[in-house]
Amino acid sequence: MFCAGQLLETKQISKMIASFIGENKAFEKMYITGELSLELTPQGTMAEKCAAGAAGVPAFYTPAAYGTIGKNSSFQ
Amino acid sequence: MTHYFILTCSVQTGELPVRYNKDGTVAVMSKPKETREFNGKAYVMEEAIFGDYAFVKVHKADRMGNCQFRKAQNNFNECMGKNAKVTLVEADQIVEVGEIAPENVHLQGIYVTKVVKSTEGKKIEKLTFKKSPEELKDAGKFAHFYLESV
Repeated sequence: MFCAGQLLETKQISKMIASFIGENKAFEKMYITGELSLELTPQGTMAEKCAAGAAGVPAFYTPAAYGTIGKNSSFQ
Repeated sequence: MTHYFILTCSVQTGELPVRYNKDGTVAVMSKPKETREFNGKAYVMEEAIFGDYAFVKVHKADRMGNCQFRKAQNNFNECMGKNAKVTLVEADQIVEVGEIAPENVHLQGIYVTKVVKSTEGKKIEKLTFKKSPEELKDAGKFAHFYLESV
């Protein structure tokens, strides 16, 4: 287990902002059992959120993630 | 449909479960995001991340905390280092001040709180090997199949 995986195993993470979580089994289990909050964010948006914060810019507009199919999806 | 597709399409309306309860019901749903139109195109407002702590891995750091990245270290390291209130740097090498030329400093020492020397070797989670030209030719053989199935 590498990087954040080590902190996950010792339950030191309560919230994660990430774009892709596909491969980490510990993460998946913790998310499903309610031990972890997850904020899914498109990759480019996440990069810009960090860069904006670094530059002291509180918010910005992006076309990524606009529009939805989520209304009737069974994603829950 | 890929994960990414679902993701980029449902983030805006706030219909993703942020946290579940132990019994599998949803405890917290994501909030819908503010939208606005510019030049006839729709945009979503995203709020910046303001970090408290950043863990940054660098190739070289000097004693003032000026850092130089190498290859893939030029990812989120620079902006997270500048972003967080406390930036902890793990450096492969610690050098004297002035050894990194000014134009090669990627993260300035003013953003850095502490520098530690890396003691662990670089670990790679998934190893892969260079492919031979024959294998590379084969890799393209099924491309049409993937395109059709999407």
